[in-house]
Amino acid sequence: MVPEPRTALPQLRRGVLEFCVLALLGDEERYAYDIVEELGAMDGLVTSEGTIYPLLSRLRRDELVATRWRESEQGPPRRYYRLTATGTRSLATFAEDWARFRDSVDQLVNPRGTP
Amino acid sequence: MMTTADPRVVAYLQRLEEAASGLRAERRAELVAEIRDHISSRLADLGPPAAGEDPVERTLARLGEPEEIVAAAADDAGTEVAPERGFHPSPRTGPGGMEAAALVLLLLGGFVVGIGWIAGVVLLWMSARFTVAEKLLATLVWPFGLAAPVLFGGLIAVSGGPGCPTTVPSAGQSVGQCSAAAANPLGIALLVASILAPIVVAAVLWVRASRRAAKG
Repeated sequence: MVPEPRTALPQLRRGVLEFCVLALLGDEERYAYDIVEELGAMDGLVTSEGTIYPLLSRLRRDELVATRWRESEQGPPRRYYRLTATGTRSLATFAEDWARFRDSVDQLVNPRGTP
Repeated sequence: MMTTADPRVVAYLQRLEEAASGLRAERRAELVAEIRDHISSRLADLGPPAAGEDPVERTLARLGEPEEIVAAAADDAGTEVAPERGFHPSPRTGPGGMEAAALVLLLLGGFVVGIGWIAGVVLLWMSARFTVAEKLLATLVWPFGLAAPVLFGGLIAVSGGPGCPTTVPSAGQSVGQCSAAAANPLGIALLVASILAPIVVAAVLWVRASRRAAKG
């Protein structure tokens, strides 16, 4: 039997998804459903939307995001997420790391610069 | 929400709840509530289904398997897993915060207009770490804790001084204060004893609860 070709996608997702959440928050305050909705709509980023909720609560525990409850017009109050100072710094560091990382990988995998 | 009453949604949330049984109760409840909110928000967003569409199925499929969601929650921290699941020895070796709060409130809560002491009694009787006899003892020695002897002592001090007040406003009221002050050494001994008693009771309860916890 021929072995399956490998894919790095699950590992990549694991590594970068939390920074995508941080990036999505930017300087805006958003509630969880909204975040999940937007991430879920992006190609290849999320396979199971439900897993973003535990991710959000981990970011909260690690104090990269802060939350507060706000009344909503329809339905119960919602928990809104925003970046903390540590979250903002983590995001900035990631942006630099990612650019270097991406360029290096591109040079090897895609040396001519065309996909 | 009407939309989460769909039997498939109910079954999904049930599976999630079961899969999450290894998480701490508080985390489990939060996760299930978040996913339930997500489902109702999404179904409200999708609106009435067009022909051949099944919004419930689509919503649940995009959420992923409940087990997968729980795995993501349990993934990051060992502390996420409840101790009884056997991954960690129980971190609770002594009586918990509730027991400490109960004993402190029993002693000092009486100063908060009595309400604090009542809260202490409630916590005391809710705790599973004290016996009924201990609970009775702690409730009866003394009602309102240290506030009782202090208040009592304050009355002696106010009416106090050697000898009785020269003006006796109403007989029944001042006789008790007067005699308590007159029997000075005995009065003070009683006062000291009544202050020590609740402290001793609280200390004994704490030590006994600690020993029980240590034995498992």
